[in-house]
Amino acid sequence: MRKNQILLAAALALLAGAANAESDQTFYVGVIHIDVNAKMPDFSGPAVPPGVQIRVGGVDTLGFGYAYRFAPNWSAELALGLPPTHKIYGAGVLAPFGQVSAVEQEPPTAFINYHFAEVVPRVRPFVGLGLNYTHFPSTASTPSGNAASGGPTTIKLSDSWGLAWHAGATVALDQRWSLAGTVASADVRSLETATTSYPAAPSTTASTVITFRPMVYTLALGYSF
Amino acid sequence: MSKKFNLMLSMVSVAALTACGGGTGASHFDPPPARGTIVTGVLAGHVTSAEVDFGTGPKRANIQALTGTALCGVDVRYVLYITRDPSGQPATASTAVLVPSASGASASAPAGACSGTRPVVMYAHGTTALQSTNMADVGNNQEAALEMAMYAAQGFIVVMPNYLGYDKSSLHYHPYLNAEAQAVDVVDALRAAKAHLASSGSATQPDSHLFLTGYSQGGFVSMAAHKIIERDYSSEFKVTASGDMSGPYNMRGMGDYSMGVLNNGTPQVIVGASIFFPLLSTSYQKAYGNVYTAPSVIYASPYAATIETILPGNPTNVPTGTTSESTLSSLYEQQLITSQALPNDPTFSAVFGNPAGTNNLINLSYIATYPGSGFQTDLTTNTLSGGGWAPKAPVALCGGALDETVPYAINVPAMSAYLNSVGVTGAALTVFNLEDPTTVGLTINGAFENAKTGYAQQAAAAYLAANPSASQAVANAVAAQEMGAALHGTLEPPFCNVLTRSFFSSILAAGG
Repeated sequence: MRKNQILLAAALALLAGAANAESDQTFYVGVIHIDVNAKMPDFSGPAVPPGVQIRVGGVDTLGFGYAYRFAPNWSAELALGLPPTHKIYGAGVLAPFGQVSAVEQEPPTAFINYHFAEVVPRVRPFVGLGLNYTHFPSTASTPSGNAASGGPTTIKLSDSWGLAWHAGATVALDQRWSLAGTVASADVRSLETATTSYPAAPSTTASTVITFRPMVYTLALGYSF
Repeated sequence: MSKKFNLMLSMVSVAALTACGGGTGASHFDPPPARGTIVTGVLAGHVTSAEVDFGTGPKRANIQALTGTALCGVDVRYVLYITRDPSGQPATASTAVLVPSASGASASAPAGACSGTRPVVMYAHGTTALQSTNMADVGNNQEAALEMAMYAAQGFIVVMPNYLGYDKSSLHYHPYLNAEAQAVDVVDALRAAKAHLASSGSATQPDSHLFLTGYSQGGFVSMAAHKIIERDYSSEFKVTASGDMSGPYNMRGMGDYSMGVLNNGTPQVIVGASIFFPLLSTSYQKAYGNVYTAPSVIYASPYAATIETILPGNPTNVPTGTTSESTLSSLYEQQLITSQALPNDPTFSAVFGNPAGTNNLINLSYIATYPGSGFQTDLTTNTLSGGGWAPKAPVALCGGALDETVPYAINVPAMSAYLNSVGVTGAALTVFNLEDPTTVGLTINGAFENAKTGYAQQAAAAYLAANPSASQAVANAVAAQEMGAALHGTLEPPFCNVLTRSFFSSILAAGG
């Protein structure tokens, strides 16, 4: 069973048996939409023509996380989720190839949040600053991607550490339950290396450094205990 | 609490479903791009009618009596497109598109002969060992230059696929003489050529005529394309006629002939077999998986180790300035010998060795296992002189009865008999045998015999120049042998092209 599914199951179990009078802790589950906004110089390498680009498709996934209120207006938060898989499309001279790969990402992020006073009853805006770690547990080149690069291709994306920030608001539904909507972003950078193999010649590589400025929209239901 | 718990559970399931499950398996892959999608399409160059005439003239190929003088200038276009490999996966391949042009046309070209809507000829090229073969390289590829002079300079649009596995193709092998796979590639080349012309602003565009032709391997490919276009793509393309030249239509017969099945167990020599067999066994093994459990079943050591990857290929250490594709191809073939990827047989023909068992490429022990083998079955699968199909459009077959590479006797009688048996007779089937004036006329036959004699005379003179102490008789014997080996690749093509072109022109003139 996948790591994140285990985490989710554990969190749901916690939820089921929770009984803490102070409501310092919140567990939430929600839906996330990610637009990646990837930018990069053309791929380069010994056999790479100019104009080789990719475009990363947006994706929806399940988010969940935990927040601990350590002071009246402050919380520390760990934002997780089911790792989404993005479709990567050829762009520039690669545009005719359509989807060239699929990439799974895991972007756990920790935030320190400041919660403002209610602007209308029950609604408290907040802002947060944090640290994102993104890694790419799984990648695959599509058959079309292999045709584009001239052979079976494996893809590596390097890990990224970077600043993250978000803003949003919580809406208290009752003493325990709340809704939260956030818009988040982070500074994510990764070196992508695509290695193509041939039956009777050495492999060739193509690489570029991708800068992501993702926009992540979350709507979550929280249970505080 | 339960209402909100339910809300959360439904959010969980929505998001989990949207995420499509984790990982990066094929469930996350869109279908591949449509067949015939253009990757790049460019105007690569332009040739004037004067330049074509120089090439066919006495200082060069000296075939102007056959090609005629050029009417049109020619725009040379190149298109890289997405097609499918034999397993149905996307792969790229490229094609030349030669387009008659009023620019650079001859002053004597009739108005409208070089622009507007013009008939399309698909020309499929013959076997080549050179992976970088590119029919758009008309300056360096003699076969391409011949078709440019024969057709494009005379007002036909010519589409010349390079084939999967050649030039910039992403496929790492060539589906040689795989009828279905090569036909898919031809169809996608035609689609890409048409789309490129439509978006290019070219003053010359295809009309509704589609002629299919090709030489040697290309004769097989054009006939396979005829069969498969009429079977599967009839709403998209209408074949006007096919003119198939010196092709191995009877693949089963070719295999049985080479393996001795037709001659009481005595294998027969096919000129070029050392190049053909590796291409063929690799092609069928990749497509059907039943040729061998390992290449060493067929091929002797050390050749088995590399046999699947050496053809087609490109030479190394090329002398600066060498651009002629035939020179590069010969250089590569020589390197295959020096690197011991193929045996030291400069004729590239004695696959069982000469004498048998000496320096052989194919294990003698394979001969007995060939009948009933998967390889033989695959040859039958790819035999066009059978299988129940019947061409709707007229067919011309051209060859020379003394051809030593693609033997006429194995292929043409079987093909005509088969076509007759499915009702293709009379005007629907024309057979040209260059050695037989009753089929090609006295003029062509006479010119062909002169070409053979002239070739042999030059070969004898060259032999004497290199071996001054040799007798004329010996020189003549060597020359006759060389001339025989040159029939298929050098002597027959211009004549078969002329006959095929006349066949196409008469169909056009009759309003076909």
